Amino acid sequence: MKTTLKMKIIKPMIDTLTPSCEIISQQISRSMDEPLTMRERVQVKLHLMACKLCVRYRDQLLAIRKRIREQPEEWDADSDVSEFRLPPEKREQIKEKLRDRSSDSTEN
Amino acid sequence: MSTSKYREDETQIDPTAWVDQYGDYLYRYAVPRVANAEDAEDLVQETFLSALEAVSEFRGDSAVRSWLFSILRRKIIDYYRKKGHRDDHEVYGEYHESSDFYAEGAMKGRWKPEAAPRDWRRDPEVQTETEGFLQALHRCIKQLSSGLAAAFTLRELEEMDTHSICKELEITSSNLWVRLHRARTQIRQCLEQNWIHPDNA
Repeated sequence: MKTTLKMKIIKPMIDTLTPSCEIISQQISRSMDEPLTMRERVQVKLHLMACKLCVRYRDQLLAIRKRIREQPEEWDADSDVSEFRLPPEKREQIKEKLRDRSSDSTEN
Repeated sequence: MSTSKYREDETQIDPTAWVDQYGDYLYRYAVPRVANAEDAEDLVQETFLSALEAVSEFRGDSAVRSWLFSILRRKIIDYYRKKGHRDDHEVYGEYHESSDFYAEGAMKGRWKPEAAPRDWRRDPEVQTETEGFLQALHRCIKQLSSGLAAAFTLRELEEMDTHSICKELEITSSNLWVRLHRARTQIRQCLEQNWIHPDNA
């Protein structure tokens, strides 16, 4: 009885009363950058009770952020490291430029 | 901060030796943050050239490595500052006709079936810990337009606050929110279609 009530009445009601998924997903995204207003927080909370797609959206976005923040500098950790090496030619080119510039400055 | 590891370099300053010592680290940091490998190489080069110019200001009170990183991070911001405001109109245009994600008509604003977030194979926190996630994310960031990549990279990878990003890119906060929402939505979908469910995207 209770689930029927929830499915048949409350869920469509929330769907109708809260802003669309487009607006809610914008608010979910913005909540990752600044606090939402009380009104927005209530809207998001209500919407998430009725919309599993937006729940997924939020959970997936938060997981992506969490993973990035755990390992900000080590993108190469589980990859082929050679792909992430400064190419030897470029390395020599940079050294060459550094030598040119430093000899310029000593001559002047 | 432990500086003892770098003490030798602090007493004996030789910028060309820095290239061998730190070049790969700087490059690895730059690659996922810019559009392509060539741009990353150029930023690393500019970093070393700026370091040489400023070498007299470097008093060795910070480790060489973190000093070089701070120069590189500044270069990344400047890189996006140059590219950033070029496609303001593009961003707003795309946003207002966001019909590739959200429905029109009677179901206006609802997720379109083909763009609706799907269940990932595992709990999102577990899924993002699995091997290959960062590479997949990296490829998805490369697919963003430069205006969206600027917003996403500075906010999520560089962890800058929104106020500073708006100041650097000379955009309003609502423009930044539009970009971030757009970028996150595209990246989420890209990961799902290319990495999580590549067979039946």
